[in-house]
Amino acid sequence: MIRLKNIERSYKTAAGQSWVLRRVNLEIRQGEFVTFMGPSGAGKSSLLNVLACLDDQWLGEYWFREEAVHEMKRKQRGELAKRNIGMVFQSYHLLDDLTVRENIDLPLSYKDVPSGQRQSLVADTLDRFQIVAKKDLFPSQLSGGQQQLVGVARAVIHKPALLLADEPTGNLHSSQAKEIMELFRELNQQGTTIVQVTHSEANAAYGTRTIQLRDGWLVGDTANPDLQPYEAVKR
Amino acid sequence: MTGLLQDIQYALRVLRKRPGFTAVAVITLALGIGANTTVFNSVNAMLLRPFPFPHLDRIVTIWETVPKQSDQLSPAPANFRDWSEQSTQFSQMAAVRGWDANLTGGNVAEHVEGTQVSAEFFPLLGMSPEVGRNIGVADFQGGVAPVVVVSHGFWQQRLGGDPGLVGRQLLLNGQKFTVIGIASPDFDFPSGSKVWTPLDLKGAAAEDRGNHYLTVFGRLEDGVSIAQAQAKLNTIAARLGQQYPKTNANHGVSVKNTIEDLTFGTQQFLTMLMGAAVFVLLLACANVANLQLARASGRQKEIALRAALGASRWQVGRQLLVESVLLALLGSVVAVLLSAWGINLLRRSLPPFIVEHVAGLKHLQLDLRAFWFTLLLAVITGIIAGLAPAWHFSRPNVNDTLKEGPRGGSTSESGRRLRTVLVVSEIALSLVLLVGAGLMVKGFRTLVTKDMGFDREHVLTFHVVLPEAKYRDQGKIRGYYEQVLRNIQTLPGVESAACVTSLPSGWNWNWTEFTAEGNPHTSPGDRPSVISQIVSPALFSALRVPLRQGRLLSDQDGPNAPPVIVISETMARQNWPGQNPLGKHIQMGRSEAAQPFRTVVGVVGEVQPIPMSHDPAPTAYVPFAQQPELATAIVVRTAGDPLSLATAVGKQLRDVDADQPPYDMRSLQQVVSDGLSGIESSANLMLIFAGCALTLAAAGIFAVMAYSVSQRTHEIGVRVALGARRFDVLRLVVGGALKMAAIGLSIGLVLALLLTRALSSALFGVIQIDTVTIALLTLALSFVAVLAAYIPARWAMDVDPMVALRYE
Repeated sequence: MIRLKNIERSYKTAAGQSWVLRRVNLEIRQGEFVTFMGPSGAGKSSLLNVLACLDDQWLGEYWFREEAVHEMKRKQRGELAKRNIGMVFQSYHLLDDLTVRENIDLPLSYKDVPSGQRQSLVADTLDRFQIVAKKDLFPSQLSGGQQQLVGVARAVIHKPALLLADEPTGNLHSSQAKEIMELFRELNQQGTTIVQVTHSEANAAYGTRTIQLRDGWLVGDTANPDLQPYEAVKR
Repeated sequence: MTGLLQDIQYALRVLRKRPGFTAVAVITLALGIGANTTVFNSVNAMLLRPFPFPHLDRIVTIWETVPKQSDQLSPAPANFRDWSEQSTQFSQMAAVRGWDANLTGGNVAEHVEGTQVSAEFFPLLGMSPEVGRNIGVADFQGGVAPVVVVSHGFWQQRLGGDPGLVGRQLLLNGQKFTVIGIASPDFDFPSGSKVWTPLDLKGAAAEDRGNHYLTVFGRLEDGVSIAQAQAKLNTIAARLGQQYPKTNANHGVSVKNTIEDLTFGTQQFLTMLMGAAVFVLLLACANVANLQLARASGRQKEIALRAALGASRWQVGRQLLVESVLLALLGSVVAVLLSAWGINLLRRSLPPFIVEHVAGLKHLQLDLRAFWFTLLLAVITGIIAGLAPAWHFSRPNVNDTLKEGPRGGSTSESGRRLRTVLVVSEIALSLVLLVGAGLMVKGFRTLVTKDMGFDREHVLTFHVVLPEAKYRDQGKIRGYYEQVLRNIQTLPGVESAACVTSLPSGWNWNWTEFTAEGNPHTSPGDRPSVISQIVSPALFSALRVPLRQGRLLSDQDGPNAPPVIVISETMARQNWPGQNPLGKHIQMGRSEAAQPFRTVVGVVGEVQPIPMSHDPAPTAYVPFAQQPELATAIVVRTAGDPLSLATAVGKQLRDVDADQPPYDMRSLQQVVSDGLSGIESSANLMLIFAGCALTLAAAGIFAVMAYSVSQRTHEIGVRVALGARRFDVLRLVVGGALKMAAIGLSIGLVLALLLTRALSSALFGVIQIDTVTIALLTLALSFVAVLAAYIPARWAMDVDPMVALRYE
């Protein structure tokens, strides 16, 4: 589904170039549940942003379902992401002035989906996530777990092929976190490819594959035991 | 469409949640939109639709022209007849003539301003009466009793609104006129007309080419342009010039759109006011744009999220624009209320005489057109005010903005630059408005106090018109006015009283051709003309016009005495430069009119006809006793308040002839200031606009500096921790404001000078470039800028470095 070839990302600083991703080569198959792990500053979130097409300052090749993302213009990438990708954020990033229903409907409003169909999709999603009773509440009236639930609902309403989650349980306590991760597992079993970034081993256990990053290098992959160790890669 | 509705819903919710911001933005936009609605309404009423006639743009006014003399000479009757018969470019052509009448038969005689009209007048205008019928061809047949159409206002206010008036008779100038119709409420053309009667152009009048007293209107045929009509009439005029060389040689024709012709004096002022109103609107937009930029800075995460969820740049920008347009629409509601109040105030501040006689002023009110204009302007304003924030924030850096980390709006360099540009623009625009208003007020004050060559204090003025039917011979006319003047002079408090054809600062001047001894003209078209004043001897003492040479007119200059004349200094200089004019001779009027040659016996000081005129007009004073006129103005110099003698003076006139009432009784001071009331109103409006501009500019500077201080709290804390004193912080903040002000003032100064130069030529003598005033206003605006920055500077000075350094 996804093929990354020699992906590199750097920032200009006063001291020169600061590399956040270095020659990342990666393949993710349809239906996988992949976890990115590593210390702070390893490049996990940066890699996730590349996959989400939120960042377009990287170099290398990025193939999404055989489409060459690296050859696309910004607008085309945006269209691709709109159609195929859903994103869940650590801080939920719900809009405070919109109700739960309106927050969930938001991605559809940007997709030229007919109004009747939108209403139907929103209703189904509310039902699926069992938050119908809360549809007219504002985010400030929900608990952290409920807010993240809404965040996940918003991310999957348009049935994306790929769901990206950046520390989805980082601001939740353990029981809420477990609920969210169970939900992810369920979505994965229903066919959604999931890539998550997490520090939590417990969360990583929900996945089918774990990829380790350090200093921007891909240094470990449970699906690829032949991957060179970190010291060798750095050399 | 659904997306737009959602944006509107969301925008309403957001604005409701932030009432403070919404209120400030709405009031700011209301000021800008209200200013434009007020001026547009005036433009609409006075320039675009001053009259209710259908297809107003097809009606033209036709003048005779004489090279070197006048490009706007009233046509003579025979010329009008020939144009009407020989041209095919007009569906109708009509002539009118002002007619002053005295309505008698009731308790008190009353002057009525009327118009005599030819048969095509009402069909040309396409106006139907409210009751009865209009004057038609049948009313011009021989032996038919004279008829009259009365105005709606006159019928209501002076004739008791009598429903059975049509068919009754009115006694006008001693003659019975049958009322055949009552005009519709919105019809009073030419402005001020109360009655309309048939214009008799039969007999000698029909062949008259020497007396020019008509105003001619034409309605162009479909598909005919003004240029085409002009070309055809030029041909006819040339032919008439050959056929009648004594009267028509070199006489041309000028065809002008009637609205443009009648509103010429108003156009420049209204254009200037419209420009000023647009400036105020731009200032308001800049202020609101700044407010929205600041607010949107705090919404960057929301905007980035929308982009991350798939919103295109257009969709994000549209959201912000919708909010802005909604603010403007709310502002337009307040604007309409402000404008209605302003227009009411404007009408009540103008003298009744001006409201009656300036086209469109009487019907000045908010109408449907003004409403649509306001609505459209609100949408455009919302877009202008929202464009900068929408453009700036519609392409967020999604990646950086959504990163987990400290919250708090960050100010990008481009955002800061944009806000600075907006404030600099506000300061520049404010200075231009301030300078325009200041110079206009100064110009007005100069005009009001200008020495026009006479003493306007303690002088009562009024007019009298005698009916020709009763005062057929000159002896009777002379006798009436001599008796009136004698009676008035017996009143306590009266120092002198005199007749004069036209009052200074009045609206009508009698320009007459003349021949000066030693200066024969070579062709009929070459004759010079002069303001002709028929005066009684006491005029010069009544108005305190100084004698320069020779003697003034006296009672000895009677009907049987040698014909004499007194002239102004300009006339003496123009005709006999370097010579003694005393003893020279002048023939007033055309030579074929066989007027006597008059001997120049005196030279008097200049009397300026209107305050705005730069050059004095040559004037000739002919003794009233030697050339009495039916209609004249009377001036009465009094010891005290002139208006306190109005009733007594009126009684003196009634004692001589109760059927000849005085009218338009005003002090001379009032006559002069009424003539300047348009300029005064314009100056006051400019002042209001400038005041708004100053307030908006100060608010803009305050908002920018306050926001800047809030963003630099950490930096200021560090500076203080490193040793900066309170004064250093003050200097930092106020210095930033002064830098912006300096740039804005420099740009504004250049624009103000350019604009002033353009206005001073367009507004004929009202605005003059005055460097002292401009310098003072620039300093004033600088002071305001410093003041506006001072409060945020005080906040900055109060920053606790320990708090600021912990601040994230």
